[in-house]
Amino acid sequence: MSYTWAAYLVVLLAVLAWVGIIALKLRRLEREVKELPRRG
Amino acid sequence: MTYLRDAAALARKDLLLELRGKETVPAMVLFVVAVFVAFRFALPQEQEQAAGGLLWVAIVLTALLGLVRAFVPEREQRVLDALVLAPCDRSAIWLGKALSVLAFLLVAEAAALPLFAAFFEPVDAATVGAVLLADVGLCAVGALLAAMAVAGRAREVLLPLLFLPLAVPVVIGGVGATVTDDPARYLGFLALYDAIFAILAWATFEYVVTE
Amino acid sequence: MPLALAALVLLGVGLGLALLWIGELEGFAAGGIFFLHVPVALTAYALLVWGAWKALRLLWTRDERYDLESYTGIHVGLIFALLTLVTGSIWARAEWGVWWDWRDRQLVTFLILFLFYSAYFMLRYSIEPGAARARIPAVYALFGVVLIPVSFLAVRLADQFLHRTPLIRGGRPDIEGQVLAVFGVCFAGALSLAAAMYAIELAGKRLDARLQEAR
Repeated sequence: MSYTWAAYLVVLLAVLAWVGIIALKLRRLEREVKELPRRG
Repeated sequence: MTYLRDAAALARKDLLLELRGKETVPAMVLFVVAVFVAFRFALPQEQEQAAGGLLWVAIVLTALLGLVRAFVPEREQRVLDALVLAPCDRSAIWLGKALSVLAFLLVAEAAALPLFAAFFEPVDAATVGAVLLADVGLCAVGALLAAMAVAGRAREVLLPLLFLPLAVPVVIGGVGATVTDDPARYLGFLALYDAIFAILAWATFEYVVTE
Repeated sequence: MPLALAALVLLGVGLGLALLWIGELEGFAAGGIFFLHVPVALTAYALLVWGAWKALRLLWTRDERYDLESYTGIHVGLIFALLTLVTGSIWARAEWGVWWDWRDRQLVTFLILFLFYSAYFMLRYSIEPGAARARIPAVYALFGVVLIPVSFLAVRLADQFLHRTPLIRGGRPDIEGQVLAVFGVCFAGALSLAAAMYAIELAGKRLDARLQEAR
């Protein structure tokens, strides 16, 4: 029984890790977009 | 049939270069013998039947050695760009290269197989057949992958990574033919592998090489 | 838009969770891992085929747009392939007490494919940015998709001389309606998760590309 939840947890953690990485990337992109008009 | 003539011309160029320089084939032969020696010590007493399988690892690695150098001369002398501009079907380059590496591999194996038979166990007809079929597949795929590897910065270092996953089915086919009582099935599989990947490599080589 | 996609992700995950729980109750061999592992595996295959299809379109039409689509498909596909290997390993541990069993054909095939597609990224990043960086990995992706059936067949053939006792997956029961329904929903969940990840990644990469141009 516990193995199923372990497997599920692994998938969940992987997805969360992926979400975290994407969120960081998006934040970096946002910052760069804001800087654009300034550089013109 | 200028296509075949172009491929033959390219292959002959490689063979002549090798005859003059004598770099690749001797290295391959020495490599195979060294691998056999290493195998001898890698196999514990009871597992001497594993030798059949190890033959195939040796073949794949030796093919890799030959392939790693496949496009290096072209790259170094920027000949590849000229070849691509030449009025021949680009895939003739692939065919020529595959044929020359095949020739090198066959020569190396002509030395290696008798040695294997002496060191470990006799080599039967099925094994020889499998070696021939496997060589075709390995060189067909390897020639294309070598062109890919050379296109990047990592160059020859990348080739083993690209090559080995694709070589696994060949190892399976070869070991099956060597070790089991039903080699026909594995020889058939090798032939299938050759046909599929040779056609794919022939069709896609152009995209690897053009700018 | 990201909100809608996030909702899709949650849907996929939530559904999968709920149905895993139900799968447990049905009393499967190793709990409900079957409902997680197999959908993830099938989704991985789907993503890799999608990536190869986009690669083919790229080579065919020379439209640069397909490059990012192919690359993203393969990237998410690789993630799912890794998850397939991990969940498969957990399943093996649950059912047979070992973390890996070479007799498991599906898993061994996935290992070969995982190695192959990992090399895809090494190949891609070793090439300078430009048209070649799109085209050469696209050819490689085509080789990959052809390798899928070939390596599956090869591994199957290898059974004959490697192991006298091929493995039979304990979790493949008689497909009654209920089981099929549960499986179907989990599969849908995995696919929608993959689709959401794909869409988000693709949007991010495209945005990145446009930013590069703007600079």
